[in-house]
Amino acid sequence: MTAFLRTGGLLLALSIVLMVLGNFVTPGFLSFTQVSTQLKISAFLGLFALCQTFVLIAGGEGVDLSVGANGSLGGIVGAALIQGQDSAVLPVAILMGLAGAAVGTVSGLGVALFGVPPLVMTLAIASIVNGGLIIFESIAQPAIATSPFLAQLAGRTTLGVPNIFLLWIAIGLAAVWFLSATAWGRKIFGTGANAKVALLSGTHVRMVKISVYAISGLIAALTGFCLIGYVGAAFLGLGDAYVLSSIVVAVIGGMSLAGGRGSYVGVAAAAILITVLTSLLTTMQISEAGRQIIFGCILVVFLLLNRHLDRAH
Amino acid sequence: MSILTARGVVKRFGGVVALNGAEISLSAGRVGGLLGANGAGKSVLSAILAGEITPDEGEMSFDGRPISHPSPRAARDHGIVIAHQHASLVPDLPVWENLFLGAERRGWLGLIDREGSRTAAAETLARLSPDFDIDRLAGELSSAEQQLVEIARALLRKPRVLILDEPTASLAHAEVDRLFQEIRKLAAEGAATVFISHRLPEVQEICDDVVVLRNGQTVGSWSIGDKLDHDRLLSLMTGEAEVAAHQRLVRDIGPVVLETTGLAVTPRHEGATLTLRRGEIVGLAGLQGQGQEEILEALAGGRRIAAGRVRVEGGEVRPRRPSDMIRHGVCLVPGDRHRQGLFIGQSIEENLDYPSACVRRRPWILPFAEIRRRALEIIGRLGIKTSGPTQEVAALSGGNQQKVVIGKWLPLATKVLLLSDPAKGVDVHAKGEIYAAVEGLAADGAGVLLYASDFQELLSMCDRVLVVYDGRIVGEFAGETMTEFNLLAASFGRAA
Amino acid sequence: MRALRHAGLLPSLGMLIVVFAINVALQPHLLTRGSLSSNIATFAPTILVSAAQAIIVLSGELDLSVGTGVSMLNCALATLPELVGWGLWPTLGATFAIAVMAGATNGVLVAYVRLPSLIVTFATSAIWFGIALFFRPQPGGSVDQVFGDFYAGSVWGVPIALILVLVALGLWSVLQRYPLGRQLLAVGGNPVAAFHAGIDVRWVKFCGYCIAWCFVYLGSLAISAQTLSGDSRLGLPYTLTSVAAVVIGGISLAGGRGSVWGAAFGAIALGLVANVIYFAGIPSIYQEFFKGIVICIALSFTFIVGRRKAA
Repeated sequence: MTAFLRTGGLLLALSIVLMVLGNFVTPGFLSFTQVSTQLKISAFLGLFALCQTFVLIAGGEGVDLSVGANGSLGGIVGAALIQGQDSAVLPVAILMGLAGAAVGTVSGLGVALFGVPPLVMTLAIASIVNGGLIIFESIAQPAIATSPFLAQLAGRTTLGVPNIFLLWIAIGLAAVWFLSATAWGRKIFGTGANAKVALLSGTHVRMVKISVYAISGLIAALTGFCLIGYVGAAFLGLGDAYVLSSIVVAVIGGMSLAGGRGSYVGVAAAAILITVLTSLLTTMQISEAGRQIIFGCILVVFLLLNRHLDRAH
Repeated sequence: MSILTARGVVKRFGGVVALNGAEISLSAGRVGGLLGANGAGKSVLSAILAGEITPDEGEMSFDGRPISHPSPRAARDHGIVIAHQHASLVPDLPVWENLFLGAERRGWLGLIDREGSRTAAAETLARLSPDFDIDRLAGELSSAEQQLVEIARALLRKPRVLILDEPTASLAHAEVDRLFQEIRKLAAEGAATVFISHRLPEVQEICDDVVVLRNGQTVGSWSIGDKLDHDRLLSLMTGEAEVAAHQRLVRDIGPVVLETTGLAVTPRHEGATLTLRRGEIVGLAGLQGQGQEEILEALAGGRRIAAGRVRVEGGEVRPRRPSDMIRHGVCLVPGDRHRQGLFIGQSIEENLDYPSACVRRRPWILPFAEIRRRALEIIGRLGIKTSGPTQEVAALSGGNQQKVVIGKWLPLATKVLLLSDPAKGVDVHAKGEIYAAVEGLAADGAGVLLYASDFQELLSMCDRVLVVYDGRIVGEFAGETMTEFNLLAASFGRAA
Repeated sequence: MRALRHAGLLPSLGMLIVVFAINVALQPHLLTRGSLSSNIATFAPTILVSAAQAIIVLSGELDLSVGTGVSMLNCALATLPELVGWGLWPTLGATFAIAVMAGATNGVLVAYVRLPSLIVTFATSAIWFGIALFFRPQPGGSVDQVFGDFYAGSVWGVPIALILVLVALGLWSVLQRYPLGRQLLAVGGNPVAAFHAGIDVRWVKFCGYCIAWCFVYLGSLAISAQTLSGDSRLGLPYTLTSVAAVVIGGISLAGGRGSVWGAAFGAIALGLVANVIYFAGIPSIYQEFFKGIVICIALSFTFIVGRRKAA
């Protein structure tokens, strides 16, 4: 546990360093609105990374490439259903959660029952969901506006801290508790650490694997639903940017690609770090070309550091 | 005349010292047996000789000149070749390609010489096993066939030093004979061979010298005369003058708790029929691979049953998956503790609680205080040597790891405990403690069904021993008839 | 036949034939030389990039940067002439050098530094994208018309694009008769066994990346000859399409099993599916959806066949 706090603490410290540095480079970087924005963006990134966390812990080279598609599903269909009305938000949210969980369950079935590699299965599902959304948008011409409540949730602050950030912390704590203090969480770790041992000890390994993909789908869809509050409207490709970045955040946050190890604390810190890094690069008035190259290089450096820290363990 | 010598070899893996000053000397034309208990360091030493691992300290010399070879290729350039205990083959390539992997025969324009390779492959394999299909994919072979391919690959390299790590474990008698012929041929050509095995009769037959390892050190090396001195060997391997005799507890034998009728895991087997009573310890004996482990796995719900019935306390059960049987109080301690028994990266406490966590209906939240209390209780009862329940199991010795594997079932094995070779690779002291714990469980009223590859263990522990051949029970011995001789005879009874 | 089955080519070949038949049914004049030529010219880039991905996947790794790599090479081709005043041949040469360096970079990071390929190629893909943007912040530039004409032409009635694909795949087949080609498969199939056999696993994986990027280079040539200009966004779809083609082609993502030809068939099948959708009168918005369905169908074939073999 302490090791993961150490990773998380280190990453958070780095984030703060970057923020201070940023203020030197571009004054106003540490302003209230700027920090607020950072926290909001990292909340969304962190939630998508939570999806990956569940899937990664359960092992079997688990990744979920459909988080973007599920997010778009939650946002687009969600917006279509609420029609801008606050009253509809709660029931639609529940519905979107169920929809995301259903999609995730299909992925999980493919992985657990048919042995399809998660990379491929979730890629295929993402294609189908995205394709379905394209068809939906052009045929149904649905409402795309967000509702005032969602805008409040994603846009406003309570006591100076963005609401969505608070929500993220709450969900994050719940997730950490679930994974470390419940029997089901233990089974997820067991399945990832050694599926054979888990099976012989009485775990329904298949159920566990299906459940993590369902959870991932649920969180992704709900996050996408909240996301329309932040961006103001639903549009195709809403969640696309988060797919690979959520995996990167998870890995930098200390999750093992092999499964069975890791803690969300590090992942959450990594989400903040990556967000700050990206913003810093954006405000530094570097051309997009330079930003991309620097981002890629820094990622490589992080991976090297990660490996070095792992070895020393 | 010495070809390869290693002295003062030290190798550490993390905190564990695998070799602590081992030494070995191999001479031209002679076959040296490398002996030692599990965990003594035989495989690590061979891996170092073959260039697969680099030692932390030590010197090696080849033909009198000092060498170090940091890679398998470098070792092979010197003519040092190893055939591993578990065949190291690429599953999707055919046998003949596996034989030449890394040492491909080249022909015109540097292309791979397919014809020449296949001919040489067929010819070499035929010397070990006639009619071997060299075009089959390596992944489709049985473990005996894979072993033959592994050995053939080593032979093809024309070694000056050949290391064979437990080569005969899965081989049939005729194949072992042919292998020994090849070894003698090599010796006649001046090569040196290292023969690692637990099978003393074979060591007697093929080896000229023996080297004994214990706890990573060479504790003895001498030339075998006409007869291999078993007592001297065993005492060197275990470091004790005599293995203490096991004291038996008096137990009450209760009603029948488990019955099987014609239990078979593949359709063609006739199936096993047996009964087990509460408080009884029944052993499964026989040659390796006769279906003992499969019977236990099937009873535990880990393997599909093709035919036959199982009854627990009179009620019929269908073991479809492990959780079914665990709920009935029937638990299995599997044979391979690293792959099937433990979560290596987790703590003792987490490992001990895991099956209980799976079966526990309420509460869904883990009761941490209770888990800690139970862990400490099990640690005390089994005598697990550890710094505390939060220590990682990877840091424990083999014997203590095995105790954790057994310990996690103690609260759950209320009716039947199945054990698959629980003392394999465990040192003598831990072995005693493990068996005492098993006996304790039986004394508490569970029925114990135990498979051990070592007949002595069975004889000292069991009330009855059943001999298994080809998945069927072919003999039952108890009391006075329960002797090693009888068991062995029954094991071979139907064999060719 | 046994060789085909061993290489897992039967499902992908089967799929290809089915899709081709549907295509012909919907578009009878597909079977004319002109139509076939233009189809091959369009599919060639995808086939080549999928072949590149196949090589890397066979060696047990992945490369998510091939798409932005195509962009980078395309932008280099379109910009170097005006940037440094080079003619066609020096530009081609320099772009080839860039391709090999990109492959070598990925190769070093994955094989020698041992970073996980999924993540590290995501990082390098950002770097290639940045370089593409450096060359071409806005789409533009131009590739020599001569080059485009050459690509669109044919030799003895055989379209250049087809020759390009066949030569590339043919060179791979030749490589398979050399130790390196087989060792690539071994390293993906069982890296430990390969190591025990004396193979330098790191060197082989590194070579795998370098060879694969030669195919990426050829793919970028094929697409540049068609667009005749540079666009940094051009290559983005190729990454996921190449992975899909590899999967449809029956290549195991774990490595060691399958054939590069399978990926080629998979790429063609995906291209034909787009044709089918167009000629069936289905609006192009459905394309993404159907691509996903096709992948699922191909997956179910591959895994049902695989399970039957394992049983």
